[in-house]
Amino acid sequence: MNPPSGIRIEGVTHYFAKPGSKEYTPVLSDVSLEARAGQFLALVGPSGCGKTTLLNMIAGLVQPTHGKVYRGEELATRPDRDVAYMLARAALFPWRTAQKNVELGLELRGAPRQERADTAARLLELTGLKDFAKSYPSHLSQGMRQRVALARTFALKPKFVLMDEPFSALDAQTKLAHQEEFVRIWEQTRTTAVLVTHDLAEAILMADRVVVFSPRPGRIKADLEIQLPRPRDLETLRFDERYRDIHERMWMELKQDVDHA
Amino acid sequence: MSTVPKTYSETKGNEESATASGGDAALPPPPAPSRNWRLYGNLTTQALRIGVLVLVCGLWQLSTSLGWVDPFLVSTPWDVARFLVSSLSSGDIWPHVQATVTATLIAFVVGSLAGIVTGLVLSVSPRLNAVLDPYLTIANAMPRVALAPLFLLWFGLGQTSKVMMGISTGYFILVLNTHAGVKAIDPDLKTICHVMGANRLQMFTKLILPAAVPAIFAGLRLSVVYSLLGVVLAEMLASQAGMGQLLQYYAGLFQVQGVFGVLICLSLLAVAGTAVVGAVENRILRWQ
Ligand SMILES: Nc1ncnc2c1ncn2[C@@H]1O[C@H](COP(=O)(O)OP(=O)(O)OP(=O)(O)O)[C@@H](O)[C@H]1O
Ligand SMILES: [Mg+2]
Repeated sequence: MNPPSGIRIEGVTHYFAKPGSKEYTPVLSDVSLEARAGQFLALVGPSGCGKTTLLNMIAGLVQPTHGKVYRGEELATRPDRDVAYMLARAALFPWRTAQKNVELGLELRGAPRQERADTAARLLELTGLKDFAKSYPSHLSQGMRQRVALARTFALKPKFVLMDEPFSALDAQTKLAHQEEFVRIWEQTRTTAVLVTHDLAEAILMADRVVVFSPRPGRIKADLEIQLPRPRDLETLRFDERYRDIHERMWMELKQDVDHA
Repeated sequence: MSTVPKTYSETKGNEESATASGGDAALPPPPAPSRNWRLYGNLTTQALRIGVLVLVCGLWQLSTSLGWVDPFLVSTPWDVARFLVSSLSSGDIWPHVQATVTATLIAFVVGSLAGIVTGLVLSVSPRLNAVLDPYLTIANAMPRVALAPLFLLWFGLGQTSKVMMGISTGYFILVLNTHAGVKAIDPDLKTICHVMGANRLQMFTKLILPAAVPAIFAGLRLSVVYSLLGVVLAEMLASQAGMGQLLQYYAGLFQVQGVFGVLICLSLLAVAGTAVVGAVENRILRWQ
């Protein structure tokens, strides 16, 4: 198992070129943030404030206009095999079975067949998809596909797990099941995790710390440690006094922006 | 509401019997495995199809025997059938079928492969694509059948001319389809590949190539037909053998039944070619 490393974001300001003109849109404004190794960080904020962009920077897919992004001690200038990325849509390869999808990362690393199969079997078991290993994505439900994506995410024993609204396409019940499942797997591995979400409850119930962004250009508005004890029972925690306090505070932060908009 | 069990003991009994035999005992059986013949339509559809054929042939026969149209110009179904039987049984038509089929196969294989390779190269090299794009557009927009006289001049009356003609009609379909297939790749899949650390070669073999396969097959189904078209066209202009030449020959002799007979054979060949590609496609694209 890789020793976990943290994430450090130093004074990141970012511009995107407006399509078809010489002008630039500021997307992120002087964002600095440090996540400890093994911390579960959630990013919330209004649509278009640059959350996905920031995640892409950590993944090494986008270079900030100003400032620096580090994964551990290393500058995040390009994608790295220690990083796993989970998207809102499962993004499975439709011509690969569930098992082959989970094996993809290992295959790219040239891992031997047996090791790939063992890892995939273990993770499909863990995500409750053992019986569907040989199914193609078109024969799986939305929720099952997302669980395959989850298995794929953890198959590489990543040091960093980045998630962009991974549960947003699921219905309420499936969502809760997936959130719990994710937390359960994460608690076993304790990788550094960054979760982008629109769902305040999700952020508070799952993460160690929630960072709230302002509308575009995104600035950090609030940064809260969530001291709810682990392991957490997401279903009952909703009715916990402390959860309600935090939720209230964050809601006020976000609400101000909505009122001003 | 009617499914609510009446008594507690009844539910309990059901549960026990269910778990005892693997959990499925309480369920009615699953449907019988479905068979493929449904694909070709049910009996009524089949009957109606044959009905249409009979109707068309009947009208055709009737209108000639009643003198509405001149059988010299349109022949009759009966004459066409007689022509087909006699030329197939005497074997006169076979060398021509062989010439056309061989040329079409060569043109299809070479043209499609070249088209796929070109399409893939253009897809992985945006620069090359940007440079060549206008020329490809022009070459594709040009009515390429008009190249036939030139090919005859360059390659003579033999097989090469018609193969080249068949290649030129099939090639661009594959270039464009392959390219379109790659362009349509889900950007999320690219992101996932990137993040997982795929190198350029892996990006190609694990993502681009398999993702383009459906579009490539759609192109292949078309290019079978278009290769045949190119070949037949070249044969019609000038050649030593082939079904296109045969068409010209019968038309020149005012043997309309011969023209129709050859046309029917050509259509059957085209349908057979498409069916073969379709069958291969169904095997390869089982994941769809
Ligand atoms: N590749 C790009 N080129 C140009 N502009 C971009 C690009 N990607 C994002 N943007 C712009 O940057 C801004 C922030 O986008 P981003 O996707 O990071 O927002 P977000 O916070 O993830 O929003 P959401 O919650 O809706 O997903 C948006 O205004 C978007 O239009
Ligand atoms: Mg986003």
